[in-house]
Amino acid sequence: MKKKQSKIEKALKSLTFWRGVIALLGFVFIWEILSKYVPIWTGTVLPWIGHVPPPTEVIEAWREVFFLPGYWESWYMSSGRVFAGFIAAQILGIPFGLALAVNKYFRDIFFPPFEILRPIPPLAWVPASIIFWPTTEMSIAFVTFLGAFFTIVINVLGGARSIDVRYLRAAQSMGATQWDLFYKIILPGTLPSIFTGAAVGMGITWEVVLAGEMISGGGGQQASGGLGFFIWSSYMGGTVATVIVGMISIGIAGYLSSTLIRFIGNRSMPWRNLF
Amino acid sequence: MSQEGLLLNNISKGFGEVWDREEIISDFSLNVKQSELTVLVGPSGCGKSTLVNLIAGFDKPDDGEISINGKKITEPGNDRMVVFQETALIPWQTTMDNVTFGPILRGKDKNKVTEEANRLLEKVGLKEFKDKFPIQLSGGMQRRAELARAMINEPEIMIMDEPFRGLDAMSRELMQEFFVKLFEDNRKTNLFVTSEIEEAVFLADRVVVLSNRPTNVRKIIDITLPRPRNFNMLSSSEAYEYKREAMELLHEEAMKSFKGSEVGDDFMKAYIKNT
Repeated sequence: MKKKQSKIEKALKSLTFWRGVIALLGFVFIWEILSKYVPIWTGTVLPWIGHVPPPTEVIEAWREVFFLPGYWESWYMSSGRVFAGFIAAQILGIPFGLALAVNKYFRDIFFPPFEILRPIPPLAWVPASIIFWPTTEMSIAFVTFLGAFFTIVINVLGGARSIDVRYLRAAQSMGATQWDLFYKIILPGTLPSIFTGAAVGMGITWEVVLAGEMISGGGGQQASGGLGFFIWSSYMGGTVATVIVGMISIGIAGYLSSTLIRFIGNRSMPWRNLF
Repeated sequence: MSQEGLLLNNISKGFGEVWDREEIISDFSLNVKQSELTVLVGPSGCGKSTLVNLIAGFDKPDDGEISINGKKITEPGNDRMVVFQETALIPWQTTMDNVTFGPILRGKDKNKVTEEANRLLEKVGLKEFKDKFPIQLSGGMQRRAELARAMINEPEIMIMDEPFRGLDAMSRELMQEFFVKLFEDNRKTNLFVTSEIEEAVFLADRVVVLSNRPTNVRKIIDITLPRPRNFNMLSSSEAYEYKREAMELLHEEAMKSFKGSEVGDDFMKAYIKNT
């Protein structure tokens, strides 16, 4: 507990942290000037940024939705979908990738169909999965799963195949069995690629979930639609500031998810972040 | 007792398909005597590493037989420990875990193994670094950790494949001094591969000069410099004579690989003009 506190204290004292804070505030400040004050001062509306509501308006819109349960339910729905698809993709993707890497027969049989399915973008699966699966929820889950699955598998496969042969040979010389080689060399050696795959896969799941929610229309009521539908319905309702609230919410959610992955990654690979 | 030590009997090894096969080693015989330090020197690309892989059991000869103290070699085993050109310490294990890896895999008592590892790490001067990961060690420390890891497995023969290559001149000399002392203390049968003649003469009981491809024994030079060795001995007239002889043989062999090509002929002409 003591160690944790000192870590937070350390972060507050570090220049990197404050540079980040100042950069964010600076960005918001410039946005405010360009979108609100430049038109007031000069009478000209700047292209693009001039049509974006200024931060003050966005914050106002945020304040309005902040206390509505619907907004938080959207968060909850989207995160739940991302989490479910992501975990399912990890659970199936990691063993599948490892099996492809270590077993030649398995690779010979399953790699060709895998490689043909892989280039199909997740969104191209949407119509088919709506037909295949009985509920909208299931089709969203399935498409989300696919988005992360292919990335994870290809990363695990690449990582496991690129483990330096010297480690395997050294272990073999010292009497390692096939299981030892897998458990002590191949698995830890693949961890960095597993986390790379997880980070990229997490990004893709957010993308896919959001797109899926926009397409599916959220099953009728705003709350169950998730952040994707939150944005879509705000757009239909013509409140641009709320659209931006939705966008920033997704940004924050994505940032939190990748921070979580980085945190777990650093914890499980102590040999990599020593400098 | 001609069966003692490592015996290579008429071994051959080639790569490629039958119709365009390149013979790397052909009809190679050598006896690495027990408790001796035998050094192999050869022009670069002459197949030294192929030879090491065969002896280690990572690869099988096409023809001929390799045996240690009368026992035929068919697969990697802890009776032979290889220290590679570049570090093969397992990156996700601490120095201690690397050293104890082999014995623990083979089911030895953990406390005893740790005790022995502590003793060896003290011997190689890494006692304070036992909980560090390989990436935190300098090049010289990594080599010493590897020596400790090889020794704890109590091999009948140690095989060193250019182990000090890539170290800076200073660490290299220190490692040579350290290594020769280690050998003189233990007298563990050692096959040491290098492309440096100085290093060969300094360390060896016998220097085996290899020919160009297909690799064979060009000449065996017995080094009768007294032990314990020190660097001053390298400036004696005796050592000078060994070095000169080895250098001439190596030079002839290296030249052979130039012959036959246009660039090679030009080079030879220029070389002859200059000498």
